[in-house]
Amino acid sequence: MRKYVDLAMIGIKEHTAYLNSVWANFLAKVIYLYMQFALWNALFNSNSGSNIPLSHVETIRYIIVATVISTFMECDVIAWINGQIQSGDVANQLIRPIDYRFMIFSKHIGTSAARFMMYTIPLGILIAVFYRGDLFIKDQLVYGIISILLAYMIQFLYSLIIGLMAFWLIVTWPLNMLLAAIYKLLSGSWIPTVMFPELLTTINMFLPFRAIYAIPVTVITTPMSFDNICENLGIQLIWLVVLFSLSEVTWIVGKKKLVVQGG
Amino acid sequence: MYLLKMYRHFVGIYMKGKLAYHFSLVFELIANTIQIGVYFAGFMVIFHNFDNIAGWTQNEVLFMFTTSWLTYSLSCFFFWSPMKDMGELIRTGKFDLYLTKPIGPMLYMVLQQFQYTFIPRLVLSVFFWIYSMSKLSINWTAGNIALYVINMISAFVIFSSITVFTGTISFWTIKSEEIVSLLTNNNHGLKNYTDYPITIYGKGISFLLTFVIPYAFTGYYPVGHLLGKDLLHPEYAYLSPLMALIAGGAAYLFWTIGLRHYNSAGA
Amino acid sequence: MSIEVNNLTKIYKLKRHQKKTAVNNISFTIPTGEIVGFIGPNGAGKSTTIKMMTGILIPDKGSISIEGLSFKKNRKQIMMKTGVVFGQKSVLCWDIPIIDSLKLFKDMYRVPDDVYKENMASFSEILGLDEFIDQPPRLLSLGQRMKADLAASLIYNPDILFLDEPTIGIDVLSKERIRQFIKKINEERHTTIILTTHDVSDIESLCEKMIIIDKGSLIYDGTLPNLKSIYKTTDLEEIIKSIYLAGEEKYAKIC
Repeated sequence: MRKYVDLAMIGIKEHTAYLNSVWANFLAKVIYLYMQFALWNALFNSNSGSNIPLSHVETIRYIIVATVISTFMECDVIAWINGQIQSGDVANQLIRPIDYRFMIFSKHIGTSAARFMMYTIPLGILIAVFYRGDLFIKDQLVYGIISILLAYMIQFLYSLIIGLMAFWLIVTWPLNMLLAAIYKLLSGSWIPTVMFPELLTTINMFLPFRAIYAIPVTVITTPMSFDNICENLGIQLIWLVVLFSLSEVTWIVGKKKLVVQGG
Repeated sequence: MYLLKMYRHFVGIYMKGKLAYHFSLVFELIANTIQIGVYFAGFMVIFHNFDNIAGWTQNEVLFMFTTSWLTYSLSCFFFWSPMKDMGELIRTGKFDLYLTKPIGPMLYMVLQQFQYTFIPRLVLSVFFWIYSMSKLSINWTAGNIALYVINMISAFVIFSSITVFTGTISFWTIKSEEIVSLLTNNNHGLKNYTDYPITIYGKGISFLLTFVIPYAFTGYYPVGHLLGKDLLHPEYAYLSPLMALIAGGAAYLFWTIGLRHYNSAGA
Repeated sequence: MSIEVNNLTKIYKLKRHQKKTAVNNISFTIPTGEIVGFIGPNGAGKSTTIKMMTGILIPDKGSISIEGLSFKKNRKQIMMKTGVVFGQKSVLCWDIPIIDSLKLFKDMYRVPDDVYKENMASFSEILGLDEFIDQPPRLLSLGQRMKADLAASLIYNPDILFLDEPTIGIDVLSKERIRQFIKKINEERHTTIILTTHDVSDIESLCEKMIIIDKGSLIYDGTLPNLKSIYKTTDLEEIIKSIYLAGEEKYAKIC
């Protein structure tokens, strides 16, 4: 256990080492949040249509919570794994007496903890100062937190799988860039997924992205029945199992490729 | 003539180098196409739910920001990559090499590359530009066309000047990448603010986008005027060329000062 | 082209009003067609001086005149006639064949066709450039890359050539070829060559004159045989070692 704590500490330290980019990252979040806030406010203020699936308040809550969650959810796991595979460093990691995936996960938790302290809390304070009104449904908060934890795991497994793709690819960044764009839209971190047209909603049913943002954020910000909550958490659980199995397979097959190539 | 010949030669070589990895070149272009395509998709999703924003219809907004994106892509072909790499060039000392050439360093850096990754953005912008134009009934008088063209040229100058500004900061701090990202990142960049009418933001932001980082002159003011929109300041619609002149002059001056600083202090 | 350096001084501003005099009142003259070894320990102000001589840095005091021209007024004219080769930084495009880079420089420096052809023939003869001219730098050995870099800087017949550590990390045979080439260029074209290096054998085999700098000051400007006669030994490495050592003990003085 201790070694994982150590790794998490390394994650924290590595992240705080670049303190001079912290302000830029934080400012980026503020710029983004304000743009979202102004955009959705203006949209609701200039339209009075009743066919909008979310109310004005719900939407604003949604985009604020989604942005706050993104401050610690975002991760460098894909870049780490890509880098280690391409530099051949992964071979050195494999001979260590710790499981590679747990090692990455511990480091990821450390980074998230650092991000939580540096971005989530300051951003939360900023929002508390400027935004009057509740951000979450009190009765559903416990489920919301469970949902965030599940989303965190799903996000990690997804990143792990994509990161391990470097075993097969020569250049990884175009793939990462492409997936990042799709992820941004389909996860619901930008536009609430309930606003998607039918086709997009149907496509999204078969993809894990919405389990990372749309589900936890909705559970936190939109009132729903207990059955509905269970259904949402159930979907997340299913994706967790699916992605876990996929990551196992990717890891085993990828490792074989590494052994065959000799690192 | 000499410069044109050099540019042709430089770009020929640059693309030849890139084509050595044609697989990755194609991948880059596909990735960029999807990235920009997804942005348009998101835009469509928003207007699937809403009719207008601050009195602008979907096609009006689309026409406004594709006008701006067109000139932005063109500007980025030349300036984006050298200015983004300035920090790196100074850190590694490679910038010194440009100073020993018979062509000035800025010109050299602009000439020696062609940032083709903005082609998908340009192509998609042109597509949606034509699409939105066909849906709008714009009164294309000779005067309007002339004004529109002048504004496009001004927008090109404004975008290029801002890019040069951000790159020049590297002469002092070496970490200009973050500032470039704060301004132009596809997710959180300040430039994204001008994809929508700037009246949706507070007064401070409108002022910022008008006078400090004059992105609003690349789309909102001139296009809003053309479309007959109720503008924040209708008279600003004619100010784009002046803004371009000021921005261009300021960028040139700043670059000269930066270069002189580098010449006297080194890295 | 000759180089005249007068009372050259460069002071770096450090943080909190601290200043560091990197180059302190240096004067020397390098006549046309000479090969000068420019040496000094790390941090002596050597590269600052070279940067000023190549127009990268502007001196705080003093002047540099290249055949009567100054960087302030005739920058482009000087650049057209100057070649700079940094051992650690290549001017060649990483992914494209050497020949394309050379053609680019031909256009950039407006080299006439016949001069270009003549130079290419001579580069092939001595450096064996034709063996790897169709390959990009990323596939070349360090020695081949340096040869290509030399070719790129000499294709336009510069009158002055700055060579910064040209033989660093290169095998013995390639080093020998590179030296022969530099010597030949100097003899045939009377190119003024300024060579900075830590490799004593480079200096032994190439330089008639030596300029030694330590702690920002000029401590020797004269011929190699003269230096040897002062120290009464032919072992240049010993001489340099004792000069640097004396510099550390702060009483550097020769002559």
